[in-house]
Amino acid sequence: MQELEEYEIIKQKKIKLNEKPRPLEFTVLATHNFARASILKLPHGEVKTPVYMPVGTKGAMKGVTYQEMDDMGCKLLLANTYHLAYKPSGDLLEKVGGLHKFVNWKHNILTDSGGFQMVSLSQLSEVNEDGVTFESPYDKTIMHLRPEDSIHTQNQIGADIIMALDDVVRTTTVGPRMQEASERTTRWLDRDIAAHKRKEDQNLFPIVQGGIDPKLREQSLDDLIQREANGYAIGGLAGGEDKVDFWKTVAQCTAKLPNDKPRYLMGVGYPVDVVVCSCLGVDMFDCVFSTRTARFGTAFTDYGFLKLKNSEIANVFQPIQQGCQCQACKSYTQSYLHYLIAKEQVACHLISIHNLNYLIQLMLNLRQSIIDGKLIEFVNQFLKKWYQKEGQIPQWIIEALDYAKIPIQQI
Amino acid sequence: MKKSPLFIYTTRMGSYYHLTPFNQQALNLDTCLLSAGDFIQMENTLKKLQSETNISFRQYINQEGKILYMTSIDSYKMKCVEGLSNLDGVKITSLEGKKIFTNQQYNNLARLINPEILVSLTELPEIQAGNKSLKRSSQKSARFLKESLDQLKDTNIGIFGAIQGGLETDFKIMAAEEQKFAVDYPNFRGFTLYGFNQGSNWQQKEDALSVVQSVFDGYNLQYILAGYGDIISILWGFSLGIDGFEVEEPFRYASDLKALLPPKFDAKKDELEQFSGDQINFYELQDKKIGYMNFPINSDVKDNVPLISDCKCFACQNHTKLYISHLVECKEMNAQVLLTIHNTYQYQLLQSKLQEMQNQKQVNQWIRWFLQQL
Repeated sequence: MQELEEYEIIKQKKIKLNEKPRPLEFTVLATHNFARASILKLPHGEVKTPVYMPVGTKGAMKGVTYQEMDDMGCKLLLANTYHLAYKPSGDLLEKVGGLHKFVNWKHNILTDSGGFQMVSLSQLSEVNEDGVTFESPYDKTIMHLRPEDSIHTQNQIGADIIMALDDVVRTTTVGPRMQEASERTTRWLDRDIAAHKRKEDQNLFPIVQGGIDPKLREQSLDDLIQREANGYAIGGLAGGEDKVDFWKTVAQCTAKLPNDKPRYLMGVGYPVDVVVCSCLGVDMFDCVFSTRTARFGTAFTDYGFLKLKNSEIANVFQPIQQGCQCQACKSYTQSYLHYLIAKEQVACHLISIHNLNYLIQLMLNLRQSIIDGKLIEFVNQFLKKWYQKEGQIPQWIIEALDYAKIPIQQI
Repeated sequence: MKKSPLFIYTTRMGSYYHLTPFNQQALNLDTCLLSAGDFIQMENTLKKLQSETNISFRQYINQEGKILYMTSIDSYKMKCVEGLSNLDGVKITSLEGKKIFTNQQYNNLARLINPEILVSLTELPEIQAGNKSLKRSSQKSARFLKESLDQLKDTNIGIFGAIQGGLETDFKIMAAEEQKFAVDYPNFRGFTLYGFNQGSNWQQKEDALSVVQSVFDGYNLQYILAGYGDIISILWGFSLGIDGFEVEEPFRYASDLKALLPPKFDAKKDELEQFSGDQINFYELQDKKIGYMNFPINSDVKDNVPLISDCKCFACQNHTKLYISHLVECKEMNAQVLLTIHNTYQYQLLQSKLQEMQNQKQVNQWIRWFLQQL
C-alpha cells in the first residue's frame, strides 16, 4: 500500500531546538469529509488510523499470544487498570519496568482507567466527589478508588495512552445523575492531570461524557477541549442506546473535537459500527466483542456473522473467509473448526485470531480507501455484502453516512 | 519406523492441545496420535471430503508431512474405550456419548484417514478385571487384528497389534501368543503395549515387557509403549528395546499448570565413560522423578526470569515465571499455551538426545548419566 506523501509530510515538520519530543504526534494524511487516514506516532511506534485496538484485559489476549498479535500487524492494544491493579498490582509492574516488559510487547498499549469495570463488575459501587467505593470481585474487600489512584496505577503500568478516571453511568440515564456524572468527570479530569507524573511519555486522554443529551455533551466537550489534551475519548456510548442517538452523539463529538488530535470511541467494535464511525471522524476503537464472540464459535466475515457451531457448517470445506490471510483461514476449513469447537480450546483461539485479523484488516482497508479517494465505493461494497442476507441496510446507517457525505445505495 | 525413538504426540482431532499453527512453528512436531473416537460422528463429512473435494484428510486437519498414528485408545481421554460382550466391537466415547463401534467401522475409518500406523482395535479391560474379562479382551484384540490385516492389505497402512493384560505376565503372554499369527502378514509391523501406566513397580514392568519380547524373540518387530509418555518410562523403555512412545505428558502437565524442569541433557564425553552400557535395570529407576514447577507460584520480582535459565524454547525466550504465574492466577488460557510450548520443547530435546546417543552407541551410558542428576 502506498502512503500518500506520508514521509514527505513528516520530513517537512521542523523541530524547534531544545523542544522535547512529544509523546504523541498525529498527522492526517488524507480525508473524506469527516473521515481521516492518519499516522499516530506514540512512544512505542507508529499506528495507522483508523485503528481497531484488541483488548487484552489482564495482560493477555484470551488464548492469542502477543507474538501472534504482532504477526497480525497489531500496533496498539488495550489493557485494563482495574484488573491489573489487583493482579499483578501496579507496584509489581513498576518494579519489573512496566506492562510492556512484563508481557513482552514491543508496540503500544492503552490502559483504560477502570471506571467502567468498577461500576459494571463490582458490587456496592458508590460514587462521591472523592472517588468510587466498591467491593473487589476478587477478594470482596471494600476498595476506594480516587482519580489520583487510577492515574498512579496507570503511571506504574506505563502504557503509551492512559485514560482519565470518569464517573460512569448508564448511557440511557437521564436527568440530574447524568449531569452530575458529566460535570464530575471534568472535575476529576483536573485531578487526573495534576496526579499524572509521566507527561513526557504517557498521553492522558480525557473522556467526553454527557450520555445522549446534546447539551451535556456540548458542555463536556467545551470543558475537555479547554484542557488541551494530546487526544480525546468519546465515552458513555455503546450501552444500549438507540442507534440514531448513538451516531448523532458521535457526530456531535467529532465535529467539535480538534482535528489535529486523535479521537477514540470507547467500547465500539462491531464491524458496521467501526465503519460508520470512522466515516464520522473517529480514529480509534476498542471492544471485547471480537474475542468474546469467537469463544462461542462466531466468526466475522464480509457477509456478516458466521456461526460455526451450526450443523450446516459441518460439510463446508471452505475457510471462514476466502482470501483471509489469518492462520485460521490459511490452515483450516469451516467444517474442521465446526467439529473442533466442541472438543478443544484451540478452536476458540483460532476464531479469535480470525476475528481480530478481520477487524485489523478492515480498518487498514478503509484507511487505504480514504487515501485512494475511494471511501464511498469501499463503504457501499462493505454494506452491500454485510447486509446481503437481510436484504436491507438499516436506515440509521444511511442517515449517518449521508451526514458524512457518503451516499449509500440501498440494496 | 523412520527414526527411533519415535515420539507420538497426542492430539484432539489432529490438533495439538493448546497450540495454534503459529505456536507450533517453534516446535518440530512430526507425529500425530489420532483417536478414533474423535472422528466417529464425522464419517459422513470425511466421505464427502474424499468424494467431493480435492482436500486430503491430512490437509483437512492441517498435518501434512506428519506421521499419523491412529488408535482407539487415547490415554489423555479417560475411559475412551470400554468392553462389550458383543464380539464384533467395543464401546467408544465420542462427542455424542458412548457408541458401539465395530471393527468394520474402525477399518473403514482407517481407510478414510489413511494413517502410516494403525493400532488394531482393542478392548480395554477394567483395571481390576477378572480372568474372563481379560480373556475376552485378548481374544477380541486378536480377532480385530486379523481382520484389520486382511481388510487393509491393499493399503500402505502399517498395522500394530494391541497387547493388553496389564502387568500380569500370564495375561501378557496369552495376549502375545494369541496375536503371534500376525508376524506372517506383510503389513504387520509390531505391537503397541498397554497397561504400563499402572503404578511405578519397575520390576513388574520389566517382567511384563520381557515376556512379550520373549514370545517374539527373533522376529524383527517394533514396539510402541502406550500411555502417558512420561520421561522416566521413555528412558526405561528405550533402553529395553521399545522404539516408539505415545506422548501426552507435556500437554497434561500444561493443562495441570505445571512446567517440566528436567535436568541437563548435554553431557561431556568423558562424563559418560564412567557409566555402564548395559541395559537399564529396574532398580536404577526407583524413586526417580522429573522435577516440575506448579503454578501459580508466590510471585516476586525475582521470578521475572525464564522457567529454565538457558532454555531456548519460545516460552522461556519470550516470557517469565512471573508472567506465567500471573496468567494462571487470572485464569488466562495463555498460561496453558506457554506451558505446552515449554514442556513439549523438553521432549524434543530428549528425543534429539536419545537419537544422538543411539548413533554414538552410548544410549545406556547417557540414560544412567541423566538419571543420576535426579
